Amino acid sequence: MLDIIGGFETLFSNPSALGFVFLAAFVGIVVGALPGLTASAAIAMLLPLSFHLGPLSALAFLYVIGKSGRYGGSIAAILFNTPGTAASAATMQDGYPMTQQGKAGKALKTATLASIVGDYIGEIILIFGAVSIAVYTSRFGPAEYFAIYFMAFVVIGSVVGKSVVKGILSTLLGAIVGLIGLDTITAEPRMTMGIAELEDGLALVPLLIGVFVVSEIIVQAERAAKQGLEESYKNRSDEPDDNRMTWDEFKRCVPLMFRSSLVGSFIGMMPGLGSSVACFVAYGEEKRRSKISDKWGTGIVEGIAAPESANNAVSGPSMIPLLTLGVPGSTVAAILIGVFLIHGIQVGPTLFTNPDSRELIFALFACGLLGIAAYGIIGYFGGPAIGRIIAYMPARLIYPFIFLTAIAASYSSRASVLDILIALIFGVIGYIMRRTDFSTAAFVIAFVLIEGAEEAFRQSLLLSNDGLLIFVKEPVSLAFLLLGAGVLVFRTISVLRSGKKSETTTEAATSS
Amino acid sequence: MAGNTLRYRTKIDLGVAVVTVAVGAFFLYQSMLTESIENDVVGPRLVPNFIAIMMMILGAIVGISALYFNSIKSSELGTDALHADEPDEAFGFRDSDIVRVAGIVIMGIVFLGLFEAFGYLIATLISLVLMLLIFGNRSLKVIAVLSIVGALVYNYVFMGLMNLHNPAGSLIDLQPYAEMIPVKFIRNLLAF
Repeated sequence: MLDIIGGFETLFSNPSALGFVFLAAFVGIVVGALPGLTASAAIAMLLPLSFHLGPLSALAFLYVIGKSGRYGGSIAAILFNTPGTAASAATMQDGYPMTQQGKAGKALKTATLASIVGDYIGEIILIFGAVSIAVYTSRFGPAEYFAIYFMAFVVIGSVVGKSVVKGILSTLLGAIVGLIGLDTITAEPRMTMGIAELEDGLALVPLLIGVFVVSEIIVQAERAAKQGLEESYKNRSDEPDDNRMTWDEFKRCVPLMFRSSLVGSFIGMMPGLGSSVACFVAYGEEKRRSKISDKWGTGIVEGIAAPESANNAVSGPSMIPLLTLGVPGSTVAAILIGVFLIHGIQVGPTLFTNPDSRELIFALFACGLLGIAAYGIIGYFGGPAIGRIIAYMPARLIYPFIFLTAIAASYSSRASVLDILIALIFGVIGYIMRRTDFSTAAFVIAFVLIEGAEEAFRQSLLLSNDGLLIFVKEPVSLAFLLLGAGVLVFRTISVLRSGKKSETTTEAATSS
Repeated sequence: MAGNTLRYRTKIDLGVAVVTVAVGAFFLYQSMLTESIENDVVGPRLVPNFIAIMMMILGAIVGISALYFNSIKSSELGTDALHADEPDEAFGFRDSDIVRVAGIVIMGIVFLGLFEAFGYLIATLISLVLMLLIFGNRSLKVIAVLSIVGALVYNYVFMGLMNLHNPAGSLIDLQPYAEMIPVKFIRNLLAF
């Protein structure tokens, strides 16, 4: 508790970081509300800016964008029936019908309150959970680390996409691309194709910008997505109760928001299982429990409160694997690892033992807590206005500027023209991946994870007298390997079952 | 015709399988070129070789399972229903606008060429004009205003504030003027 008070002291004594928290709250909402553009895309584009900031300002800026971007996605989902982020896909099911009924104001305010509740619960679990887990993980050796990396690869690969094989292929592709450059142990150049610039490996920023931003620009250029957005939001009611969440509705939603937040927090701790999974799990579970489950999907506040609490509750706990193990469990965490490294901070359990980094981390937690309040206030009072402005700003005017920003951001990471080319190449690769059921998130996370995974694997083998058996002899390592294998088997069975079910449905539809 | 007995999804998945196996083979070849001490099992080739081989195996699985499911569907539904049973438009490239996709990629390459030849400011200006056109903007006034203002702002933020390396154009060096523009521009704005 004293640590977090100290964190607030550090934050309030740093006006720049304080300013960036509020700026991030606003930027995240706007970017999240733009259909197609995710918080990860915004963070990728703004990452080079963080090179010019102090460590706290840089981390706070990107961390809070991750939070407010998730919330911003609900604005697009509710107003335009297009999820601004994958995390808001479940919110559309009741959010958009409410907009059609003229209750967009009520829907947006419900989403804001639910997001705040979820995010605060997740952040509190992060603060207390990370410290306790870090005490334990500080004893881990390379075998345990490799098992955790293995589990992360398998879980991310098998869970994020529609196809288990393609999900795992996405992680393998990210991993092999991440191995281009000098070998970390022998310093031998690997897979550089004779290009000297590749000896340093592919830079994270252009790769992220390519996969998340350039591929989205290509998609938007095809669709001219926001045509017709104005139509959906013109239907507005002037009744005060249609533009706010009433006290009765709030009381009804409180237990549901707590339950969904806990579901989201638990899912957030698992690498790869991000907000998009949490929102559907919470929505499904609360619909199942509800006495009026038949009304879900027709425009009720519960249908917004459940997924919004869950998807924002993911934000804090998804940082636990990063802060306690140095293993990013989400794309936002994968990007933040780069910021830590740029500022010379080693992520992992030592973060909490070194007094300087401990102070920084608790200040970052304070930024998170303040950031939630900031985006809550901006969103509660300004959300409808932000939505209105976005509705009247066509994609054809926004995306050319996003393209130029992406190009400039790619160049700015190392002042290298090659990085612009890399962003373009990975933009096309990202576009093809999206079109063929591959997972760009798994690709990026694997790209970041592979270096540590390879190091842990080879170190374990060098230390081992029994070869690969070292991973089975250590109980913690064995537990993580089994967990990974279990998730893979479970997921494969569930995909095969759902395939059979859909075949039966198709057959029934064809025969009728 | 053999092509008609394959569902669209199967065709795409077969393409995915071929590309994945080829990518795996390429990286396996590249990995084998890495210098390594003889008989060093835990050397720099170990992990890349494993990943590349896994990619080839899984790529083959994608192809084989695509053909397998196609044959099941084909025997269950017959050739006509086989093609009617494919509602997922987000999968594959049926609704892709190849011209626009190519437009974005070419735009990036054009930017690189312009950057090399004329420096950042002109490259940004011309790229903005072309991008606004690619995205379907046709109002000359809007294009002119947004491109000029945008190029000045980008130049000021990235080259001025962030102090990025701004190489001189190899054909025309507008760097000295570009450096002056933001200052003049802001001064004029303030005066206005």
